[in-house]
Amino acid sequence: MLLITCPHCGTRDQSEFTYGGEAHISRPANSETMTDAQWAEFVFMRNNPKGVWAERWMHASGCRKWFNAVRDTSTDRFLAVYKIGEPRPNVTAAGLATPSGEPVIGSGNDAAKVMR
Amino acid sequence: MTAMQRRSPLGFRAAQHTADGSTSITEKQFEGKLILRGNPSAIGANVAGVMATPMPAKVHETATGPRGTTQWLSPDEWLILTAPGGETDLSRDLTAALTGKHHQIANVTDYYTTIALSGAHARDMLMKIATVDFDPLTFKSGMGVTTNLGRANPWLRATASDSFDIIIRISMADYLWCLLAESGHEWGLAGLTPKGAGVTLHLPHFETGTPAAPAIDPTPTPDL
Ligand SMILES: [Zn+2]
Repeated sequence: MLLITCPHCGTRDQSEFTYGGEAHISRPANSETMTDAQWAEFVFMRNNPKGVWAERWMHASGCRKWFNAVRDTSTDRFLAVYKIGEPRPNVTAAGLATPSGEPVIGSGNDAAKVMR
Repeated sequence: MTAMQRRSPLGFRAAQHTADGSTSITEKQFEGKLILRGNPSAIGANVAGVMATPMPAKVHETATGPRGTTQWLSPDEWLILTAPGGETDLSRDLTAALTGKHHQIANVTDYYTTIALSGAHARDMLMKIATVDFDPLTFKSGMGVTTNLGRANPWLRATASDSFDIIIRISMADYLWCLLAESGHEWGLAGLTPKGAGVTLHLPHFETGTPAAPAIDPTPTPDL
């Protein structure tokens, strides 16, 4: 079961939260002069990294506040949570031992075991 | 002319007790409920002056005084509970105390109802339907929380070591009542079916292609 820490309420079950996509994308101020391509870039295009990225969550069944989180997409580990308006904390993931990035335990990846 | 009658959302449900008589669910009818919103650093002292208790400042905090109970809901939102009928006066007093301060007070007395769950099995019944920890060492008397019980999303508060007040929207009140009854079934609470369960709205013209008014059963609901 995945637990998420709300910066206001503390650690709660994932079922209390809703997801809000990539964080720190601000709405362009000059939308009336933007081309369709530029608008589409803002509306649709997102990073999709394997590893550390910042995303938005909302504690829907609790305080109903949006907040930001830094998560490692390859392990689903939350590295930091912070309130809206606060800067993104400078956190890095613990290095992944396997060549393709999956967790060591349970991966069945013999190469990883050799590297460790 | 008939007198106006006020009907509570769970008025058709009788209080339930476990077989050993230790634990019960009852509806606290018409408890006064206000929602207060604002910046705590701006309105906190004024509200504390009316409530004669400090403003709860963070998650799980509640404060009970002569005018009622204030429960933290979010960094800028509080639930204020007061005796039945007291919400109008309390709302007026809070509004007077907050004149000139940016705030909002909403009287939500009739939008929610309160289910009181009390007794030796109260925590057991909650643990079966919640994801937050209701161990007495973790969730102590006086603490409040907003969470899910089954698919319902109530505010609840431990009013004593084995007693909880659960505030739930009226549209989900009977669902939660029946869920609590189901949760306490192993200790002897009666199995109940939520009102309206199994009733599906039929739109015949979708099924037959012929427009027709949906049939409405004119028989009054027997348990109201
Ligand atoms: Zn929260």
